[in-house]
Amino acid sequence: MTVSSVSPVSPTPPTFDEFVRDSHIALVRYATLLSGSAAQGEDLVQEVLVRLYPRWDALSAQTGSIGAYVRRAVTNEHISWRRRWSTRHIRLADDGDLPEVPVAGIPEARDEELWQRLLVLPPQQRAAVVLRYYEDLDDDEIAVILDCRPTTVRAHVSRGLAALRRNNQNSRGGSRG
Amino acid sequence: MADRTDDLEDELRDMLSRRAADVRPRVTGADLRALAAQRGKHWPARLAPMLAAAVVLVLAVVAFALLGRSPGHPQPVRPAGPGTSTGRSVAPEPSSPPPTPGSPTTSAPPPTTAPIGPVTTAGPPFGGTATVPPHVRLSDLPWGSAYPSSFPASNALGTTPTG
Repeated sequence: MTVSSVSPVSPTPPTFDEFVRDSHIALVRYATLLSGSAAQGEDLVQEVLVRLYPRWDALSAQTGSIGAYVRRAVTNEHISWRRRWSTRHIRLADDGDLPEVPVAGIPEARDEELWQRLLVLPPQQRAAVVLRYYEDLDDDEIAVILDCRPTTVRAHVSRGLAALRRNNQNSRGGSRG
Repeated sequence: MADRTDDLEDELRDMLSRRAADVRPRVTGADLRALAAQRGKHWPARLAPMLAAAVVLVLAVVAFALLGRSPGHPQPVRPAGPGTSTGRSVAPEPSSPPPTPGSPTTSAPPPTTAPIGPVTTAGPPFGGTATVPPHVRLSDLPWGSAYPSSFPASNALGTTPTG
C-alpha cells in the first residue's frame, strides 16, 4: 500500500482526519525507507502533519493532490533533517567487532546488504530510488515531489543504481578475496 | 549488463516492499490530531523567547542610536591649539581624558579674516555637532564708533577702536 494508491485526486479534498486515517501508515513507511529507521520515519511524518494541520483546509483546497504535497513535505523535511543531523553528530570510527558486510548467500543478509548500500546514497538519489521502486511513480510525478525536472530525476535514479551496482561488485569482490 | 540491472531493480523492489511491510506506526491518527491541535494552541509560547530577544535587540539599537554611540562611531576630535573662550591659555594634554558632558567646550579663536557666523566644533562627547557663539571683534560692532574718547587706543584684545 503506497501513498499514491490511497490518496487519489478527488473532487472533494479529504479532511485531516480522513487523510491521516487513509495515508498515515503509507506515509510512515515511505518516510522509513527515506530515513532508514522506523522511529525516525514516524517522527518525520508526525512533524510534517502537525505543522500542516493548522492550514490544512487552505492547503487541501489550493493544491491539486494533497497526498503529493505531503510526500513532498516529508521528503524536504528528511533532507533538512539530514543536514541538521550531520552538523550535530560526529560519526564514530568503524567498530572492528561488527562485520561491515553481511554474510552473502542468505536472503536476509542480501536484503540487509542492499539496504545498507541504499542508506549511504545522497538524500536526493535515495528519495528518487525509493519513489521509483517503492512508490512506482514515473519521472514526472517524482519531479513534482522532489521539485526538480524529470531529467534530473532520471539522473538521480541512474546514479543511484550505478552506485548500488558499484558497491555490489565491490562487496562481492571483497567477499571472494 | 541489462540482466544485472534488472536483477538489481527487482532486488530493490522486493527489499523495499519487505522493509516497508515491517513498519507499524505506534502513533495513531487520533493521537496525531490531538498533538497537532495542542501544538497549534500553544504556538505563541514556543515563539515567546524569540519575540523577547527581537524586542530587546530593537530596543538596544534604538538606545544606541539615541545616545549616538553606535559601535564604530568616531571619537570626538579635541580642538587643536591653545586658547579658550575665557581667554586663558591651556597647555595641550594628549593623554588627558575626553571632556565630560558638563564641561565647557573649548575652541581656538578664529582667524581675523574669518567671516562672522556660527562656529561648528568637532562636537560634544556623545557625538553630533555643537554650535558655540562666534568670536566678535569690537571693531565690527555697529556701536564701535560710540566708544568714549578715554578708551585706550589699544585694548586687551589688541584692537583699535575706529572713529
